[in-house]
This record gives sequence, C-alpha cells and structure tokens, in this order.
Amino acid sequence: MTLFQWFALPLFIGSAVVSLVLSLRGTVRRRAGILWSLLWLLAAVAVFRPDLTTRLGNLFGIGRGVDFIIYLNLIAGFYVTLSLYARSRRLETIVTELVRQQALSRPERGGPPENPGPEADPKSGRPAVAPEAVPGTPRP
Amino acid sequence: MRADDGPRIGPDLRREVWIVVAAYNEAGRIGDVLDGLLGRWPNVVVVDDASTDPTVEEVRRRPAWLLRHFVNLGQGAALQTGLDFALRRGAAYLVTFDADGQHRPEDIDALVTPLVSGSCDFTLGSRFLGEAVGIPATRKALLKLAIFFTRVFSGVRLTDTHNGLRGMTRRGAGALRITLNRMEHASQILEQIHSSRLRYAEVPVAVTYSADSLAKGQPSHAALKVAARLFLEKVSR
Repeated sequence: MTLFQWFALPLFIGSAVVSLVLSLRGTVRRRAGILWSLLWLLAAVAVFRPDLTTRLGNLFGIGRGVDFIIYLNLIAGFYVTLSLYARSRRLETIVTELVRQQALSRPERGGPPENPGPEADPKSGRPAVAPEAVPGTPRP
Repeated sequence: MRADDGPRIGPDLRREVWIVVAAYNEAGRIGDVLDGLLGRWPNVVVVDDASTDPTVEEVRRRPAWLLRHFVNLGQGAALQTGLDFALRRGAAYLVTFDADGQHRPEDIDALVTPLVSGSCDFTLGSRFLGEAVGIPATRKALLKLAIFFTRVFSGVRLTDTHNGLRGMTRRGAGALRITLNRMEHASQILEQIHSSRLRYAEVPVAVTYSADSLAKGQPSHAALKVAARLFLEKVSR
C-alpha cells in the first residue's frame, strides 16, 4: 500500500461507518446517511484499486482514472456553484421584498419645523399616512 | 423628436409628477438636491437605503416623502421601492433622479414634456447629447464601452446607457420590475424597456462631475463586477 492509501483508506472507511451509524440512530435522514456511506465506500474503493477508475475512465475515452474523477469533480463543482448562486439570488429576492414592504408601510413626510404639514410626524417615525389612502397628492 | 415641444407644464401637471431619489450616505449633498427639486416639484420621494450618515435627518427637514430600507440593498432596489410608492400614490409620470447632485433639476421639464404629449413612455437622459461637465477621460471611455456593449447584447441603440436621470409614464413604470438590486439595474431597465416594446426617446441633459461625486460614486473597476453579475444572471436561470 502507498502512503496515501494508508491514510486515505481509514479516513474514508471511518467516514462511511460514521454516516451509517448516524443514519441508523436517526441523527441524519436514513436515505441521506446510506447514500453518504456508499459514496465514502466508493471513494475508498477508488483509492484502493485505482485501476478500476482507470477502466471506467477508458470507457469514456479518458486515459487515467484520476483525470476522469477530476473532470467529474469540475463538472459537479460548476453545477454546485451555479445552484448556490441561484439559491442566494432567491434569498436576496425575498429579503428585498421584505425590506421593501416594510419601507412602503411606513412612509414619512418631512417638512420645515414651522410648517410640518397636516399629516407629517417626522419625529415619531410612525406611518404618517397609509400609502394607498389618497391617490392624489397632499400639498406640503 | 425635440424634447421642448408639447404642452407647457403647469402646477396641476406638476402634481402628477413624482421624482424618485435613491439615497445612500448622501447627507452632504441630498439637502441641496432636494431644495433644487422641491421648489418646482411638490412630489419627491427619497428612498434611504440604510444610510449610516445623517441622510435621513437632512430629508426630514424638507417637505419630501421618505421611505427607509432597514438594511442596505442597493440602488436598483431603492429605485424600485420609490417607483412602487409613487405608483401607489397615483403618479402619472415618474422621474428618477440621482441623490449626489450630478443632475440639474431644470432638465426634468424636458424629460416630462414628451411623456405628457404622449409621444413616448420612457425618456432617457443623455449626457453625451447634452453636456458632461468635468467628466474624467477614463469615465468617458468606460461609459462609451458600456454603450457599445448595450448595443451588441440588448440591441438598444442609445448615446448614454448609464444615466440616472430618466422619465416614464405610469404605464412605462408598470412595465419595469427591477430585480437586480445593485448597479446592474441600469442595464436591466434598458432591457425591460426594450422588451416592453413601449416607445422611448433620449433627451439631452447635463451631468456634472465634482470631486465629491466622483469619490462617492462607483470606481471604474466596479464595472467588471457589474459585467460578471450580469453574466451570472444570464447563465443561472
């Protein structure tokens, strides 16, 4: 066994066992835990028998198994980045709408101290007038 | 089309116009900007984008409407909030105006007149048809590049694509929905104007660059970030 195998194999097999235990205990969802332990076992197999991944790579016309896995990783990484970006955009849309509705529900009307206008209450910051109340325009 | 034909703007008409100002940390400039606007336009709404300086106090001293975002979202988001408010208040015509004093309030008449006469639904201020006072050479080059890219990617032929001074009818504002919160909104607005198939016209306006507004404004390299976000937006949905 190579040095890398000595330290990767216990790590991967250990991770597989931990995932399995966690899923059996119900700490993580059972299906997710089993899926993860399978993934860790696959990684362990790939480390223990690199020739297997090379044969898989050859099926796709890629010379080395390692290259095959790197390419897969690149594709997955790109996909994950984009879906995370899309998710953060969705969150941003929600936050924006929350902040906007809050702002719209509390309009203030300022004015010079001597003539603050009938509906203005700039100090309290409470809604001066309901935004939908008047379709026209009150004079200052 | 010349901008200065059409109906004269009387006091009744002025009340149908809403000026939308998005402000973030503009305490030093917003006062003068509002004083210049409020003399002629009774309806001015400032959307404070969670400023950390006394912008809000400056606005409260004047008879303008004030809406406050409680977290900073960006200029695009603030403009949309202001447009929403003006539409709810029954605005017939809406004008976006920058808070940093780079625009001239006198130019608004020329933006509103074509809207009132019904010749178009959007009027877009152009500093290159009008004047760009004190514009640095690098800024000018960058803006010209943006104009070129806009022409290539969205097919909109304009002489100034990143001018914050715009006018629109109620119908026009209803066709806009700014979802790009930060500086990318300028491109998004143009795309939405284009896809709305409503008519638009450019109007010569003056933009004044001061040391102050340049320091506060976007650094030139921010354009790269904007381009990257516009690209991500296209490929992620």
